[in-house]
Amino acid sequence: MSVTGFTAGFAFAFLLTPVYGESPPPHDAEGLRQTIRSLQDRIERLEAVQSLRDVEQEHEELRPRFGLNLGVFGDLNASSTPRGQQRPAFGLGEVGLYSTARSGDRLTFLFEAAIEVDEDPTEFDLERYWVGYAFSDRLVVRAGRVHTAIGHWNRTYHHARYFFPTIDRPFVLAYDWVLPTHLVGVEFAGTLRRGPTSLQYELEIGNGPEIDTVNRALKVTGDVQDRARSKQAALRIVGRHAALPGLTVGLSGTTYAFDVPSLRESVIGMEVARSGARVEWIAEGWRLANPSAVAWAGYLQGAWKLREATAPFARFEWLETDAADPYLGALNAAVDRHQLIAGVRHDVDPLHSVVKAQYRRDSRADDHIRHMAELQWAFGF
Amino acid sequence: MGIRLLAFAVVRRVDGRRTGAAGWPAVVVLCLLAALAGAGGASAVRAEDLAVIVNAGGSLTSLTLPDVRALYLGERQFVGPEPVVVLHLPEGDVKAAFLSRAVGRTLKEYKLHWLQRVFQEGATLPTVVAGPEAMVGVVATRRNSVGYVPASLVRDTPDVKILFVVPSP
Repeated sequence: MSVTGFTAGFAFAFLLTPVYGESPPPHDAEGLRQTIRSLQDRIERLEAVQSLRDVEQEHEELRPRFGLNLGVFGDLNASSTPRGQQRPAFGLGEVGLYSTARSGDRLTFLFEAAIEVDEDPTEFDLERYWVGYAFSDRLVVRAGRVHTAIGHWNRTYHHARYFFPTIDRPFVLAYDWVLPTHLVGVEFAGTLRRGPTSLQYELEIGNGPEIDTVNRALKVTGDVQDRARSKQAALRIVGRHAALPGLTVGLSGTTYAFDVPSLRESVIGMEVARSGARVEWIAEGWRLANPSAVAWAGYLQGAWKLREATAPFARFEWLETDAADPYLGALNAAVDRHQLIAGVRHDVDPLHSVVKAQYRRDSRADDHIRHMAELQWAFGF
Repeated sequence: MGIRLLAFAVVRRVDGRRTGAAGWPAVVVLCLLAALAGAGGASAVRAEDLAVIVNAGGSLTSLTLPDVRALYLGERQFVGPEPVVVLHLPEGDVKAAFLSRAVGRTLKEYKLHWLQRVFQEGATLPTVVAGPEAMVGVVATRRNSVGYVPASLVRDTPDVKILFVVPSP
């Protein structure tokens, strides 16, 4: 038989397979009885499997949902001359633990704690801890401790340095310092869409921060009895347009007051960020004002992928203040400071481990300029 | 598209591997016969096209490419007050093509995006179904579910509606 004939015959048989391809039907009574018995057995087996699945499903619903997905992030560091020291040093970064839990499509819980092993004594801080309910994309209500809605970085990056494009946060966003990065209270968030445009909002009301006058640090009041004089409010609005995927433009603002020193601080921020496949950049700026003084802070950051796993980055940061600013003075920050960093991030394992190396030029008006080389190995599991 | 799929299937079944030039005339004739019998259907979509499908009885009645992107990036989770069930295929060529063409991410970038999103806000990962046929079956039965499959799989499938076709590049 020629190849063509063979092909045609075989293919014809193939086309008829749906009709006659099954095993030949039994034509006698005994054959039919066997088929029925076989089908009955099969039904019984399937029913047994299904009943087992029902029981397993029931047990699944009773199992604790928290803790099944505990993740860990951490980082190890080395620096040539950290500020306040004269010699190179290794440093243990934070170890972050986080977990999430859900019930149905609307109720969500998130918990993130950081163990700061380089503190003496070692500190265990609850960084984020909230429960949320989603009514729709337009309204999600969360209550607990969240990252304050004061800009792109503070809402995008939390304590896992593994996600940071650089080794550390911009200095103006350092925890417990110039800007109140955490808030304990309630948050209303959502996205309003109209055609190709969307507006994302985050409105927060919570306990105002207080100044730790001993450590000159900004502390979040997390207990029920808020000792601060007033509550803190924060609002952030971010716009997107479908024609410019990855580009966000936003405004934010927050206000809070203190008894010691007695003042009200108001912060207004502006942000523009572009997150693309190869290039990512962020520009953020803030105006910090109180009745006595105004300060300006911000940073420009860019990163671009040279290859699949390697991305050089650079950032310029500034804080320009009035030396008599009572708010920044209480936080040991009433001094002009500029910083330039440049480095490279390399993904060792894109989902679990990165190494970063950077040069930092730290210029503070009350100190000499510091040049630092820094290394970090950050990971997440 | 059905013609091309059938042709491929027939070719594969001739001798377990692709036939040489001698087998092609028969294949072409058979495919034409199959097309006349209705197996090919009259469709403008090509084999590489991916159909974004939804449950026909759900509230998702129209989708644009930015909508699809927002759903698969977790930026949109509801249609009105009703939650959307976002479905994915297991890792493979179809999923990679969908992520590249509709979401604008590689598989690695997509995983990293979700890793960050879960960490940021406890977002729910899309559900992964066993394969394209299972995807069609789940979409047919789950209200407000959305998935994607090669477009040929959903022709005349009851309870499943194509809302968007991601064309081949």
